[in-house]
Parts: sequence; C-alpha cells; structure tokens
Amino acid sequence: MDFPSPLSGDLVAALVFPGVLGIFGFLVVAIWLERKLVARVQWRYGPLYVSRPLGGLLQPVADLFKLVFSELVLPRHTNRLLFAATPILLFFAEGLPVVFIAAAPGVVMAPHSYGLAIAVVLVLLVAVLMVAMAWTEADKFTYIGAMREILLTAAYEVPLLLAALAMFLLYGTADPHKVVEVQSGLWGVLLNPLAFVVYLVALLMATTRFPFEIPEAEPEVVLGPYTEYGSTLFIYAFGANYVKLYVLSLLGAVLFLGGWLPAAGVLGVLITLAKMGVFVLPAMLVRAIYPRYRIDQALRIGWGQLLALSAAAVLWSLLAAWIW
Amino acid sequence: MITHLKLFTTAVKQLFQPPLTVRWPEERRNYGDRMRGFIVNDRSKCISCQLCEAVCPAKAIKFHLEADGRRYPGIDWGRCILCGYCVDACPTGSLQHVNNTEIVWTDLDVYKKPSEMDPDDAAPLPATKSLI
Repeated sequence: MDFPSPLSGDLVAALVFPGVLGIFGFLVVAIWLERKLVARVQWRYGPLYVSRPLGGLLQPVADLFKLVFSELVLPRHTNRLLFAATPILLFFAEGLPVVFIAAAPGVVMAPHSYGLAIAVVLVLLVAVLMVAMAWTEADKFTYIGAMREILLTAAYEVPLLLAALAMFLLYGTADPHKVVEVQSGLWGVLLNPLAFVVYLVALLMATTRFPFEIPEAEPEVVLGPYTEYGSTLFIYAFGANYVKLYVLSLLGAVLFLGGWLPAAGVLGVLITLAKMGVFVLPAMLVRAIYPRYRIDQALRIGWGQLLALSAAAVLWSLLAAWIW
Repeated sequence: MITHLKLFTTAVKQLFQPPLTVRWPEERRNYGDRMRGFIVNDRSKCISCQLCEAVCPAKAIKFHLEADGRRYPGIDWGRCILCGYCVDACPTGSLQHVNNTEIVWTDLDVYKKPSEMDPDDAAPLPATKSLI
C-alpha cells in the first residue's frame, strides 16, 4: 500500500487504524454514541454541556480527565501489584487481536496466513484475565461477577468459535487479505447468514451488552468485576469491554461484510470503519431496547438456540464449500 | 426473530422523535399566563385585612410590621404550597401570582424569614450561558 515514505502499512496499522488511535478514539466515540443513542430513543438530549457545537462529543473526554485526576485506591487486603496490573493487562490483551486483523490491503501489523483464527482465539482467551482481575480485587461483588462472566463465557465461546470456523471453512483460508478477496463477489453475510446472526448475538454476549449484561448487572452486583476500581484503573478495566467490542466489530467487518471492499488504501480504511458500524450501532442500541436476561435464560440461549444455529452454520458452510 | 426485529424498528423510530426534555435554563417551558407561580404583594393596594392569613391552609402567611407603621403579609416559602387561596381571598387584588416558579434563594435566612417577595425578584431569571 502506498503511503508517504516514512509511513509503511504496518506502522499506519499500529499507530492509527486499527491500532492505538483507533482504539482510544473508539473509546471516546463509543461511550458518547451509546449515551446519545439511548437518550434519543428515550426522548432525551443526552450529553450536551461539554462542547455543545459537537453535540457533547467531548463529554467522555471530560469524564476521562475527571477519572484520571480522582484518587487511586489500592486496597491493603489485596495483592496490590496484581490489583494494579490486571486491568492494564486486560485492556491491552483485549486490544491484542487487532495485531492480526487487516483494515485495508497492507494495513496490518502482523500479516499471518492464520491471522483471523489467531485473533478469534485471542479474543476468547482474554476471559481468563477478566476472572483474574475479579479475583485479585478480593470482593464479593467481583467474585459473583467473575462467576457470571465464566458462565456467560461458557455460553458464547463455542458459538462464536463455530461461527468464525464456519466462515473459515467457507473461504478456505484465515488470512485477512484472502478472506476479503474471496468476498469480492458476495459478502460473507449473504454466503452464510446463519453464522452472521450467531456472530452478532455472540458479540453482544462477549461484550456483555444489554440483554446479556449479567456480569456487571448494576442492581445486583454493583459493577461486577469492575467494582473495586477507581481512577485510571477504572478506565482500563471498564474500557477493556469497549476495546473488545472494537476488536469483534473489526473482525466481523472483515469476516462478514467484505472488509475494505470495494475500495483500497485510505478509502478502504474508511469503508472498514463504516462497516464496523453495522456491529457497533446495534450493540449500542440494545441498551435502550432490552431488559436483562436471567443467568439461566442467557445460558439456555447460548447452549440451546445459539449452539444449534452455529452448528447449522458450520454444516451450511461445509455444504456450500462442497457445492462451490 | 420477528419480535426482535419489531423491537429494533420501534427503537429506530423513537430515535428520530424530537426530545421531550427541556434544556433548562437555556430552554424554558411556556406555562401560560394563568400559571400559579410565586405570589407578590402590591403594597399600594394592600389594606392589611389579614384575610389571606386566615385562609392560608399551610399557615404560610404571617403579617409583619414594616417601617411605614402598617402590617403586610409575609410568605414563608418553606410552607407555601402555591395553592392561590390567598390570591382568591384578597379583596383588593393586591396579592397576585406571577408567571414564574424558578426563584433561587442564595441565603437561607432570607428564605426562612416570612417576608414579601419583591416583584422585581419574581421576574424570570436571565438565561444562563452554557459552559463552553
């Protein structure tokens, strides 16, 4: 890909999109968008006072500033090193899959023929860190939150993996460039709509968006695994969820929506960004639509309909690949 | 599946409704002229008959002596329920509602002391500017 000489594709990927700037920019925009969308559905204005001409876009930035300057409390009864380290680890571990996902031809940090498969596995591995974080906090709410996180992970993990697997089987490759190349005719969402539906629901579960907002159910367990954190550590702990949404939307855009097609270069990056909206906007909007499922209901969905659908998606892919 | 699609379409429809909430203080609702807001007393009409004190169900009105040697109704805003009985009872029309419910006391003593409200104070607040 042709960028000005000091900027190579992987450097752009690391620093701008889908790297550092993309992640932190997404953090601000996603929090603003979530509050704004929910407010508009409920006939309110939403955040407005900070930067009125921008519609309150700088409100999350102001909140982040406020959090940075608030007091950082490290409880004495915890392992204080781990207490401080786990949210930071979690944040960056959630962002790690981005390394293997391409946002445009050449704009990828580590091109690998199994790149997308590695990304999926990395996304699924991070749940361990979440549980570790909740455990180091040594608090009953975080403990209950961690248990719920484990249950939910058990519910979404297999369907998410199978949905991704269905697409890899269909495309016959897990290299982000080739996956997008294969989709130049028909997008993955049309080739295997079942896998897309499963992926969308599993994405909501993985990022604990609303109908599955069980680990951090506010009326029940305060804030679940994030309860004990304040100040900067709260940004890392709570932001990790948004980073996961970012990663899964990017992965979904490449897997199902043809990534940067039909363009390439800078325009391709913008198109990928726009396609991420297909996953991000519903994930933001569900907060205004659904109440929270009970744990057993979420598990029943995960192990029942979702697993059946994902198995059907794999079969569909096998059949389609066989016929094709 | 159909149910979920319906839910989403409903949410998207609501998305384009204009907001119902008011961005106070830049935006104010128009309550109309007959709003039972705060109550002011016109001293030139007041005959100190004390009917308002007698009729007040919340016992918010106390008469107090002023420098001109007469007594005027003072309203304890901590008790007043803005029912307007005193306005109705007033034989000369000196007690009147103003179309304003947004008055801020910056001093607790002034708020607690039964006194008349200066009609100037009862004028609507000037709109405050936004922070940025």
